[in-house]
Amino acid sequence: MKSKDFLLCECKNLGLVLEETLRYEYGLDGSREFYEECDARLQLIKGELNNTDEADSEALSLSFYALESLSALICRIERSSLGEYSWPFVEEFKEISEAVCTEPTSLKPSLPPKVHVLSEGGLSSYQIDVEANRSFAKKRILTIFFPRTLKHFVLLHTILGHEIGHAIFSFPKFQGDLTKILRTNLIDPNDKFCNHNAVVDWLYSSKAPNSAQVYLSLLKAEYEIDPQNFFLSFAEYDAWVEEFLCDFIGLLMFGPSFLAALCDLLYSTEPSGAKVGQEHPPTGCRVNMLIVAAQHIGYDQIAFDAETKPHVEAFWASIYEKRQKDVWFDVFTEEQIKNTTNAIMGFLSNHAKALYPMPSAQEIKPLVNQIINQIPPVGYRFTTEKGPEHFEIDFRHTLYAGWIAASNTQFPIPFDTVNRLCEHGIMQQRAIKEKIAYKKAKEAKNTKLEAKV
Amino acid sequence: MSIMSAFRQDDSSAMYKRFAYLVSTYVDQPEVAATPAAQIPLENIFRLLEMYRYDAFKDENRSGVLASRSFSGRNMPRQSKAWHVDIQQALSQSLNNVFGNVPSNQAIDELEDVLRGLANDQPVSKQQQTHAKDFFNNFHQVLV
Amino acid sequence: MSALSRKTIAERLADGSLVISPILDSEQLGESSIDLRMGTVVMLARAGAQSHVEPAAYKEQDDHDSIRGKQQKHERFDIPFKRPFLLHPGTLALVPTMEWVKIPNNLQGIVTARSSWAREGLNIATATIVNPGYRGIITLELANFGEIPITLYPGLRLAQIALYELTTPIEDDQKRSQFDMKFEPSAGNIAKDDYCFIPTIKA
Repeated sequence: MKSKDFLLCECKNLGLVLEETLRYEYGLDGSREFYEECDARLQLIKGELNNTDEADSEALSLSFYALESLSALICRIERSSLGEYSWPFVEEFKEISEAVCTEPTSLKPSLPPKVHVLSEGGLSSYQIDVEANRSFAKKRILTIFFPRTLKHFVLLHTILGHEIGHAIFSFPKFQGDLTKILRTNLIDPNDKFCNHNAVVDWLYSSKAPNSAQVYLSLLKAEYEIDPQNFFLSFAEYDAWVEEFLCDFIGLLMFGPSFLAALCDLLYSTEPSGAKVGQEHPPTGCRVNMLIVAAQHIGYDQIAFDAETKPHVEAFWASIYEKRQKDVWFDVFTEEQIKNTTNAIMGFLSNHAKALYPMPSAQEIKPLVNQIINQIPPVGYRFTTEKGPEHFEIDFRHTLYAGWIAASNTQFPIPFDTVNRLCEHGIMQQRAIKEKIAYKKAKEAKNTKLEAKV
Repeated sequence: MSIMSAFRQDDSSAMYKRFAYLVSTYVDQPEVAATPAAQIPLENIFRLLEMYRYDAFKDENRSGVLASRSFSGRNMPRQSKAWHVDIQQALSQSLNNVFGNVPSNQAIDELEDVLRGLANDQPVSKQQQTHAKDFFNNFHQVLV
Repeated sequence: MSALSRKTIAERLADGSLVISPILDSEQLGESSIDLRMGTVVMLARAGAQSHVEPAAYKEQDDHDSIRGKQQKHERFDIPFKRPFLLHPGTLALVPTMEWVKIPNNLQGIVTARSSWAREGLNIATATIVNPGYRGIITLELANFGEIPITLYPGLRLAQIALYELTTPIEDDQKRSQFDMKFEPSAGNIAKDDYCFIPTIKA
């Protein structure tokens, strides 16, 4: 079989697999948009192949890789199942991600991406995969990955705030705006992070903690990575800077819950906090930076009453415990962190729902109490005078209340129970939201009718 | 190890070259431009113009926040120049060739209007059509 | 045992000694009962999974076969709000209530179908007893006794719970049921504590 014929045969196979995906119920919004998007891609590839000369290896290769990515995407869609991830969390998270990841397109001045959700093996599978700008895509598909084992751990899911940062950064206009913010506020021409050389000087300095030095000597011994080729052969400077940016975005989008999830998850995978990854700067630097940012925003300054205060203090103490005392980890000045926080806050406030609204003690306290009493936290109260009353609660407040309740030492509750209570509460709050929206719409309709009369 | 592990070269230039050609043909065939498959080249070129407008060419897919720190030392070789250098240069040259002294943002606005018109099956002025066709033909030729 | 009236139920909900959360509408409170809404999970017996219900399949010590049996017994459906679920005639579905309940040690709950739904053929297969001290969702064993399928939507009021005061409250440290702190329905162990009456089946 010739290459072109083989690829055309693969197109036919892929068409059949695409049809088979319709056997399953995947995603919250059904299958139509995915099907139509994938079908359009397949039709383009097929058309291109039909017009390609057998001898044109470059064109054949282009079609081959386009088919490969489409095949991977279709199989991902087929594997997605509502029962494998926390859909109450996803429903809320999608509202934020669609609001913030809307971009101008050739079809509409602003169009949200299609969000697809999947669970994967391994704790490190938390990710949001955004299709590249240069891809065989009409509408970009954003795939959110959850670790399969953490299905109900909604408190940890706030780490996706960081991942949504990467998604935002992939949109050209936002990338332009955010790059300016970083250049103006975070990357000072004289500091430890201003360029490759400065970072290498800091990283390989004799003041670096022992764990960092041991790790770097290991890189040298096993892979010949040294200060000269560190950013040439190993790490990516731009990726490191993007990591810091996404941490800011995660914090501003999910509030204290993000910081807690980041500390727990990152320090669980790398307890020393000093090791580096190709795309990731040391965890300790990130945590130290975020603690300064959180304090600057004033998340820890909310005045709680005597009943809730000890729980809140226990939560913040557990966060401050994670702060690295060694000043080597403080790569940015307080001034840089504050200015960057303010600038990103300004950026996010242009997108509805993107910014974590500062909660009041009155909002958080009843939620904490419900969790401590092993009741799913919702905006609901029952009194003999008024009967049942309902309140709108941002799901991020539910999660913050969950972290506070999980940190309390007076009435300890297992972490998995807190997570399930919060997940259940988010689901119930959805029902309250529907009820309130229906009531409001009905009232508005009645007011309109009365005005007519 | 997978039996098929041929090293994949960056094919961004080849892709944009092809898409620029397809878009230039759509200008004369608006009925084809409105089909779902044709919206892919239209949308890709639209996104490319946006990347150029904001000088935002970082288009790598980052690994997850907890992605493994393991390093095999056998990762893909780094490209000597970024994927977008030639494409960006070709865009600048074509903008200059076709739009002359018109500010680039204004030229991009016009090109994006044409792409929107084609994607939504809406009329595009004769002058805009000519500019767009010249631009995409030129970009197709300039891009190596 | 005496049934709690609307006034007493309201008082106990207000002082927190009884929890049914959230009650979305004051209409949910009847004269001596509270309506309960359908939750967002449905468990249906999976076609072809079991030829018959076999108590001997429930082992004292779980092994591959017993775990497999449990896992394959039901098909689990997540049904977000405003999504339909079609219950066919003759089908039994396990459905959680949307509400979370905490029954104090001196009360017992009895769950039955709401009469308006029962008239459409929808029944709670058995009158579920909710034990004193129970915390969690209540599993409704729904069956369609009619002749045509019924569409169900999460959030609909399908059942009602009546509460009765016990003559003597249970002790706090009394053994919790196998279903305590449940977030969604699951099959129970029909053989639990009765193994002495079940012959050992040889593989």
